[in-house]
Amino acid sequence: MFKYIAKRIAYSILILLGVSMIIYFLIRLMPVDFIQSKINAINQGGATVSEETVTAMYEMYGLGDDSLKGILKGYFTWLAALARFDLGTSFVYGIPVAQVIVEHMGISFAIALIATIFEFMIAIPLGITAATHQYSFRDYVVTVLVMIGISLPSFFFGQMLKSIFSLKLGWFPVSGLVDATASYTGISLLIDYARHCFIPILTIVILSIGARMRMTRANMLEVLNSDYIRTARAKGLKEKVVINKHAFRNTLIPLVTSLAGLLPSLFSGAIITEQVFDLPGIGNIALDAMNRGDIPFIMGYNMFLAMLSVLGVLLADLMYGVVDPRVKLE
Amino acid sequence: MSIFKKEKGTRNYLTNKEIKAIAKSNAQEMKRLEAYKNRKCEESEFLTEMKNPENILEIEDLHTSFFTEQGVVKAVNGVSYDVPKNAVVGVVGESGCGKSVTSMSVMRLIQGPTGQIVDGSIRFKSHEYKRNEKGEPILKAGSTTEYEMVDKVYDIAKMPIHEIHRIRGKQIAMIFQEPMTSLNPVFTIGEQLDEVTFFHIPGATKEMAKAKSEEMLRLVGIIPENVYGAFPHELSGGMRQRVMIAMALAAEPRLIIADEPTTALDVTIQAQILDLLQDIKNKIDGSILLITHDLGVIAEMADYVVVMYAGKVIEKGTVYEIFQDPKHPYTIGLQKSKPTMNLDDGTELYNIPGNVPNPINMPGYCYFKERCAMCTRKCSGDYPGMVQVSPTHFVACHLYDEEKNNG
Repeated sequence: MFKYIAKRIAYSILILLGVSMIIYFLIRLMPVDFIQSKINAINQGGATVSEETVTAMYEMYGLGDDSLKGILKGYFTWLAALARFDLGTSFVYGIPVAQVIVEHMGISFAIALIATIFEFMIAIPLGITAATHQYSFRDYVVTVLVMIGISLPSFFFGQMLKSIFSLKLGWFPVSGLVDATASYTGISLLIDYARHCFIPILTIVILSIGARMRMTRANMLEVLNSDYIRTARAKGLKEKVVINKHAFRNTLIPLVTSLAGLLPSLFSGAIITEQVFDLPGIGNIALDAMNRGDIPFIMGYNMFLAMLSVLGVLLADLMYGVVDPRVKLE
Repeated sequence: MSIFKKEKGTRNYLTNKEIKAIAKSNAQEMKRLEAYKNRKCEESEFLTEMKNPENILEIEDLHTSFFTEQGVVKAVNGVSYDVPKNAVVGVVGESGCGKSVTSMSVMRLIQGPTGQIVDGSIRFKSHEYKRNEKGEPILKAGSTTEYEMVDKVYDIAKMPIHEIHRIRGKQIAMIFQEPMTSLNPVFTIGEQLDEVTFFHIPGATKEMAKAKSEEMLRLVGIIPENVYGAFPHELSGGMRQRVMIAMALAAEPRLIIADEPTTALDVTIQAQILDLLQDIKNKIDGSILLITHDLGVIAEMADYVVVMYAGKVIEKGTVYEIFQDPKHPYTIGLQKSKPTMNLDDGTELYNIPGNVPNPINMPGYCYFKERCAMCTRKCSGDYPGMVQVSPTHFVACHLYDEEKNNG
């Protein structure tokens, strides 16, 4: 077991190296220029920046040489820093990338975690009743509703919920994370957070239920048609026990492993939803960084997600060993 | 134009109109039967009496159909046979003749809503705990573990599905064809065995269930220490079938349905499992309904034989009658198509020519007519009725009609 994990981690490091190389090269090829936009901003202010200063700035940020050699040099400089657990300093914020990530991670993680919990709590029972009542009225209603959920784009659905609940009904704040006109502390601050996050979470949950429900339904149907369910019924077990014990325990196998695969999405932030509701989450920051060419942040953020993805896959495989007695990890 | 307007029956496709009509009538029938299956009713509605008190199971005029998109498949089409007390009844027939569907109907395991018992009755004499008004079993006077028992006859075909747990597992147990997939892969053998005791023995404790499971494992020739905590995938096919048999025996059922218990096993294991069933038959005070297409197995195990063809019983009698004096041309053909050791003169093994008719459009005449070598003019008439040729021997064939008329 330990050997298996060690081996997998060794492979993961190789994968991450490849990923970092691809991301770095792609970013360097991206048609945004942090220095140029900075200079443009200064120029608009009326001041002029001399040619030497511009060159010096390019050199300072390590973006002076755009040849292959220059890019490679930049990459290895970044990699050397990473080896010392240093993600570098964000161009835009002027503080260490790790700090930026940590500062904005909390809110995104909280929203994603709550949304994921609700997603599973709603989608699994829905999937099970849809499967146990296959082709019934109930199945069709559930399936159609969740298909609508899958099909709605988040920028549209989020805006719609916002216009109904925040603008028309006025039940919830329109955007942001805290009420700027009041200074809450303690419990009332938490309540304020909850009021601001309610609609974004609702949006995410409704849009994500569909896939999970379809997955549960398909798995459950497959399990319900298997011979061992017939055996369980033939033993005289009540239908409730057959479904909730024998069938559900088997349906759980792919569900639990898919849970481990969700790891990166818990931390990545919901870029579009955070945009729509103007939440200061990591997704929002990442999009901003992309637009402004904040290379150290984009590298740090993407490498963080890549690491979580690799970890998630490893975790999913380990979970298989836990929930499925047939799987032995050697 | 005429080539497009072929008569129904000669063309091999359905028009849109016909498909819609089938779907509509199927939906109506399935809805009606599902509602009947899920209805709530008094016990008196499905209590009945046995025609012959010596029988433990009486299947009478059973119809089980599958409502498919191409039409209604009458998989079991008026089947009647009895299982006497302490007897082994073998049901033989080729694949798709409805022998398994009949046994599944007895267990009410037909997968709805497409599969439904349409008509007929399945009378079963159940030996169960006497219960008070609250549904709790009544202890025998002066005992803490023994309960008062009562004999009741249920019509399983009329039972609402939520009442069926009275019968399943406890009164009638089933051994399936596929031991490799019939055990739940995520629970240990012990957990799956204990469950039976937990559900069927009132007041069962963990220790009791474990003791019972281990006893059952020993009964089927397994050392419990090695297997009780094992998962199904750690066992071989033969071992799994033994576990299935142990599971079937755990609640001491009166009737065991063995649905092709040896088909998926290799020959040496087959012999072991048959020996085991034979052995168990002597040990338990119950009957076995053995479903197989293997005539050798039937000859070895059965007291009575039922021969099925295309959803109907065509011949039934004692094992001697069926093997020594088969009456129906199909049974005769079956006996002839058995491989034998002394067939080394180069003659080919006999096979019955032709195929089973399309299950959706069964003809009005004898279903075996097209394949029969002994056809008479009468065979184009109605489907032959059951003719009694001896006190225990029945056959559905026009060849024997006169004997009935004379006698």
